[in-house]
Amino acid sequence: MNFPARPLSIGLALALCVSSLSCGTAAFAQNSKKIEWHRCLITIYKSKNQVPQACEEYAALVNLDPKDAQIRFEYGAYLHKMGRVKEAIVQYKKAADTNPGNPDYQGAVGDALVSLKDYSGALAYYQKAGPKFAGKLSTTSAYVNQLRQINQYNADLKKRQAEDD
Amino acid sequence: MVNDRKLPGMKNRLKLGMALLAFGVAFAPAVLAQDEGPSVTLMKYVGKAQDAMKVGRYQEARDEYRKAIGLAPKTPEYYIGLSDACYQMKEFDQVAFALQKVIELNPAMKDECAGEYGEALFHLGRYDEAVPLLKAGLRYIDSPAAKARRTAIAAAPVHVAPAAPPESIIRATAAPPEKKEAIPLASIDPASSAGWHSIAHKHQEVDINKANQTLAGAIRSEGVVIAEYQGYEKGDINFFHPPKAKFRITKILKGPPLNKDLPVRYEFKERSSKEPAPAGWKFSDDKMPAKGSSWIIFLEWCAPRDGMFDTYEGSFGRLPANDENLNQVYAELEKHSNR
Repeated sequence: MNFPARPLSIGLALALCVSSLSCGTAAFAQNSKKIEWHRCLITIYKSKNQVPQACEEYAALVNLDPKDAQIRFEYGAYLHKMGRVKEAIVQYKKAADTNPGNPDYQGAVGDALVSLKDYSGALAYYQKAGPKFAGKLSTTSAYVNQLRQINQYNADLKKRQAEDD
Repeated sequence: MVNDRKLPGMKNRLKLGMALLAFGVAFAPAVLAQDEGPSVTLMKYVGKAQDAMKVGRYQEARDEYRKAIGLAPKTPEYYIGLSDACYQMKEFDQVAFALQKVIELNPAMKDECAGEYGEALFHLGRYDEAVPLLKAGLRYIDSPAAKARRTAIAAAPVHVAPAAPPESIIRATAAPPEKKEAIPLASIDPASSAGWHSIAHKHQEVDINKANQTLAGAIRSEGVVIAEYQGYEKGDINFFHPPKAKFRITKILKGPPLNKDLPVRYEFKERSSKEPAPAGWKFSDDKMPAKGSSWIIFLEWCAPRDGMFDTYEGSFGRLPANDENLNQVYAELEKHSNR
């Protein structure tokens, strides 16, 4: 008995497509379920102020999808709030690198740098953040100018004292 | 934030539910032998529930699953269906109840249901109970057992809703149609001098709202339970803004199985009453029953509204569970039962 080859191969290809699609959907659904449950745990730990456990859950969430900028941003915001600014900056920067067009991510890096008193570093991120952070940009740049002038004045003062001596 | 990206998860749940239901329907004869329920009616309920789920009529699906559970209360698949329907409507207390039942009936499914059960408990604010379950769910989802189960579900044939039983069987099993008497025509001619006013006036003599406030009316509530009063949630409480009273069910006299923790809208007035709050009425602890006291509660609907169950006609739907009241309620239930 001879079967026509082309229809058979088309059928096989179709079946393969459908099965791979269904597998992909299942994997995606499974992942979103995991994300959901991790988020539940994060909310619980946050409410109980269990910082290490919450960070652990955030880390697990980041590992699930390292390219998810929003999760990194939220993790960064939590670390920032808990006073772990340097770790927060790492997460913020990764979020900003993944999605450079998001002003919140860029601005968050700027804010974190400001809290570390790295004003000139913050300026660069506020500039990238655009109009949403225009106020912070102008304030910080004015402050940076003032600092520069103070430093200049102090340097001049020292120089004059040295000359007088 | 927590509710983002739910849809794909739901689709998978739906698929799992459908597959389990297909399994349940396939083994329906065995199930029915166990529960001794009427098979045709049960199939009808399950079929309707599945159809409703497919088109997103979750409320209807929930109600149909409840009916199915009423007939076959030992079939975990129907509880899974109920939990899926309630999940879609974010009725997490019902989801928790249904999954608790699934685990009770089939302890082997404990790990499988852990994540969803934990999620439901999380939404109910029962954080301490939710944590180990969510962790167990996360452990299970990556386990080989879960993978094998997913593969089995993916390989299962697409479920076809059970064909509706022949009309003749439905007719044979259905209750005889009620004899409806013709509505009598108004004896007063509207065109007469008395006119419609007289008819309207006549109707006003019977307070339709009060007509329902009898024990016989209350018995028609979807659920009747005996429950122990445990306390209430403090907050902004006044005569028209009743508190959430916490009861614990000790016995279900009528209606579907419910979670033992029963939050009740503790109304201070009968619902149909249009009277204002009594002069000088002020909420205090003495307006609530004694802790540990037992009550007969008539639940108008066995589904909560804003996280609380409504009692039949407000305060009318709560009776102290003393011998006299219990005797009356049992007598009425007997009268209304089909036995």
